[in-house]
Amino acid sequence: MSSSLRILVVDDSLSMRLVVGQLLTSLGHQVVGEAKDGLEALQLYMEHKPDLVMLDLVMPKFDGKKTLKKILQVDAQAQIIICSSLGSEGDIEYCLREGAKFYLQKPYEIAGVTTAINSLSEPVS
Amino acid sequence: MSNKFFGQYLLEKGVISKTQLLTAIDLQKASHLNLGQIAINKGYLTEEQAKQINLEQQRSDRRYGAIAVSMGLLKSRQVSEIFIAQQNQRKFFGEILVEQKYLDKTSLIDYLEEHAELKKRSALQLDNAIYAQPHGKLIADTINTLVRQFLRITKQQIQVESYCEGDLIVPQGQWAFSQMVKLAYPVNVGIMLDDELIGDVAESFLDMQIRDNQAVCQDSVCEFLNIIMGNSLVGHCHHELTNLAPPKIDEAGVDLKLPFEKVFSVVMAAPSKKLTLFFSSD
Repeated sequence: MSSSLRILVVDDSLSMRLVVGQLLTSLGHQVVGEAKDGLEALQLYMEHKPDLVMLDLVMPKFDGKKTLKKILQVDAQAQIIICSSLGSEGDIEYCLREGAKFYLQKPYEIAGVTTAINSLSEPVS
Repeated sequence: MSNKFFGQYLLEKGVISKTQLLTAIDLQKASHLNLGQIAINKGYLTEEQAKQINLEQQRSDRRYGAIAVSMGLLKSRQVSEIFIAQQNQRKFFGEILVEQKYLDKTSLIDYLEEHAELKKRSALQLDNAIYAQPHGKLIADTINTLVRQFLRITKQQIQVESYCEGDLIVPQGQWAFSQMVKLAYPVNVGIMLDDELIGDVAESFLDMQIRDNQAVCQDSVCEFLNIIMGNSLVGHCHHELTNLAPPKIDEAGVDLKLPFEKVFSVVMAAPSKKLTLFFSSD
């Protein structure tokens, strides 16, 4: 995975989009789009074809779990990191089995985000 | 049920005056240097590094020392040293009252014992009231997460002051933020607070002066609630998917029990500030 990624941030919270955006920019990445729900996420994904999607789960309209499936239907190679306050084993297992590359639980730290992004370059075993 | 800070307890008993209480609070604050400040004083951190650790702490749920070590800014030995220095400098509230001659030692010990006994009794009453609710464990877990995250994010201690069962209408000057959780039964869980505290939470959460932007401030509180609920529900959903609706905001005048039958609410107090945690269910 290249050192500077084009990233789509999907979160219904404006505050969280601000925080994540700042964090990603400070790590040298570029936020190419921000979506506040699953529908917008899908549109922006098709438009920008980002390297990575940071996806929240609890959202209005269609939520993060449905958005994860939809994006992967459109592009099976999509790289998606889940960023959610939810942390039950059920949520984590579901998202990872559905094809998310990594799961971050809020509130998260820079180290976690870095680990998540670095893990994308690891070969799939 | 009542659970008061020791100073407030003495004030209400007429043992100390308001001026004495405020003086003692100021002196106690002055005796309590945060770990970052001590590390700066010892030359272990720059102000910029201490701020970086603070910001990181607001976004994660870990201790200051652990973050500083993982960021490679302090060694474990230095963390132990500044922690011990902090404990040695910190003064107890009662110690200050005696130093200032507001109380003698013997009376202080009597009042401390009395206060500890009341606290023990009220904690037991609170536990009984919480676990009498069908979703008692959720209430207990949410209170614990709120206390922890409130301290992490706003740097303010918060504790249960009182609880109540019955109707709850959002009063003038306050806003209610809530989320519907579906476990075996649906529960609407939320917090109710005023604009000032909403501004405090938002500014700490975003680390920017944003108090005048009501929409962003309210959005930050929604996210704050979302984090509290997501974290509180970990032990409730296990292998299931969590069913948590996006947060909604209610204005003054809204009846928080609708569409449910009853509301259990807990008033949480930070020094000079209060917020209400509520749970409506059938």
